[in-house]
Amino acid sequence: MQISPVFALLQTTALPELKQPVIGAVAIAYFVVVAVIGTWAARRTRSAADFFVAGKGIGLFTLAIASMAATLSGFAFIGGPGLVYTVGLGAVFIVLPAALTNSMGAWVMAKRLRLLAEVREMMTIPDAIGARYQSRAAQGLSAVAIIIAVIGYMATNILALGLVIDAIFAPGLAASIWIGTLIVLAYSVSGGILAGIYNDVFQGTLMAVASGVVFWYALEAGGGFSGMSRTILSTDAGLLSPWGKLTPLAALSFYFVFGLGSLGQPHVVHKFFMLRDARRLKWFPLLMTGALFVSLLLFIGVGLAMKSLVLSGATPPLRLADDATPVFLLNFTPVPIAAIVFASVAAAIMSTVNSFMSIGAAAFTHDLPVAFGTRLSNELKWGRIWTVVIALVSAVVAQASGTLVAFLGIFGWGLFASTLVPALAVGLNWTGATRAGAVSSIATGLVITLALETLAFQKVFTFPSGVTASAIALVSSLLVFFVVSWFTRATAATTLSSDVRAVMEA
Amino acid sequence: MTPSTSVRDWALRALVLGVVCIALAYASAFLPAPFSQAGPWLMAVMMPVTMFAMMILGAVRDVRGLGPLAVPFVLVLALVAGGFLVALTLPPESVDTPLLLGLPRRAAVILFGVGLLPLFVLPIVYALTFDKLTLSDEDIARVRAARLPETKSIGAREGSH
Repeated sequence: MQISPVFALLQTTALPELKQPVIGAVAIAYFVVVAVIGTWAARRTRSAADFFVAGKGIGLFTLAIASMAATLSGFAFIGGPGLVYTVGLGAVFIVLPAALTNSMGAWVMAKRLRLLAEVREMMTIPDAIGARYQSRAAQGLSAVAIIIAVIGYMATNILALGLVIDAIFAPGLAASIWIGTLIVLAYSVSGGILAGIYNDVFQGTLMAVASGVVFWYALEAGGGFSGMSRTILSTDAGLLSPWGKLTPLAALSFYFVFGLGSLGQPHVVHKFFMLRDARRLKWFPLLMTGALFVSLLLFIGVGLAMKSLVLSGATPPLRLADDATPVFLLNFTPVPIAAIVFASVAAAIMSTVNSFMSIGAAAFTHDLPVAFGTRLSNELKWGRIWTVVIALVSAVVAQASGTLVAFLGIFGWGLFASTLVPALAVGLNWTGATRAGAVSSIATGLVITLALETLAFQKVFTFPSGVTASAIALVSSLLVFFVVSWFTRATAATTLSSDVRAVMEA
Repeated sequence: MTPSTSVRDWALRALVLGVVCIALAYASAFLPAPFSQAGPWLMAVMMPVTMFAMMILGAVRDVRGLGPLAVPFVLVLALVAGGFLVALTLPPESVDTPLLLGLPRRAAVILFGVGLLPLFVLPIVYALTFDKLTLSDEDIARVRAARLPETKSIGAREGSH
């Protein structure tokens, strides 16, 4: 079975109808809390630094939970369990790298990025790339990659949010997309990332609690891991192979793209700039890993439980794989629990959308002007304007529900990974990296991702099982980065300023 | 060459080698058997090597090298790569496959060995070695002292609109 790593993250199909008074009431209560936090944050947002990097004043717990919430989209609650239901344990390779990624991110990225903020005015990830290579071209090119990825990724997330709202309140998909957009926009445009961060804490906590509780219900309904295993093995043992219905290369490819690619997700790693005290990073991996672990329990538990329940005849076969979580919640958990999980799905999507709005607006407001050698006079005002523009464009694109939106969403993760991992993650830890290497690798990631995804989408060719455009783009941009840096190694020392060198040697 | 420079160089070489091998693993998928069958084995070994080489590049310090981090790094690398290899080696599941912690053996190795066991090992190692090997107050002071003259007023500018 061939599944693109990033395509698997998309939620573009309608959910079963969830129109019940308790679910609606919990959803409304959730939106009220979000609005209250947004209003509070708006009053504290007085500068561009507040708007884009939360005034560099957040604590450890806030950083960890907000990072977890931004990492997980609604896929963790809907698409993920659906994928486990369809392909078995092979789907787990998407979340398996979490065992390494938080610690890897802490060693490779967190300290360097946070220390960069000690010596330079850091607002964005392209800022860090520009400072590392003293290159406006590298900063501008990475901003372009971020903008393209953000628009596509946001459109898919806004569509997913519309699907959730439509399933709960049934005003129609088009209206639901606008309602969802306006809610996120309201707190994002007024309170910027400050509102986003504190909403992330609320949303992330909700996600973790909901996931943990539902996992317990999943184990109970399926008869524990042993009960589920025996039922599934008796009918379709291949689902419990470590690769599930995927080939070994496809499953391992998930691990590679989502593992190494995690270092290049700007909506997550740019939060390191915001930590008040760099020394608090000490407990970041443990806290983030704990939160992520609990939040991902539902992903595995519900997918396996639903497959076992369907195979044993306890529940009819699902209409769509993505119905796994909604059907499980409506049939095997109390309604209030189901209501909280559905609010969590909205929370997961909204926290991701807000982060994308922030980095997209920052790219337009800050990075592109800097790349052209100028600064806007009022970045706070322009940040708000670009937040509105990005949200509206994404909502319009999301209205074209279906394959177009799914196609645009494909670019997100892969484009971030292939354009940012070499120049940023490797570059901040290797003094031999050069400006030419960085610019070449960003351009390579951009061109290969766009070209291969477009050709594959138009069915000009089909990749062999396990090979994906995202993986080829990531590998290619890394190789180009090493090769070009090696050929231009004589310039390595000149691209490194003394303060950035101090950060890299710390 | 200091010990840390040596570790850094080896990590960089391992990173480059790992990426090349991953590229070969993907390339093998375009070839007929038996070449295509080599891809997963290459990925199973070199992908963890790549990720740990990346981690070592981030963790190694000029003065202190890797220090006590070397042992947990090697153990977890062996656990992850070994888990993948075991999953590739053991026979497929059937109806009467014995269960390990509620899952078929190969699935248990992947889920609990590769996924769960390292989950808290590395974060705890990170926390326990943070003050000595990752970031101290002295490190931060040194970095602050390296601020360039034109960025000395960074605190004042951050508040501007």
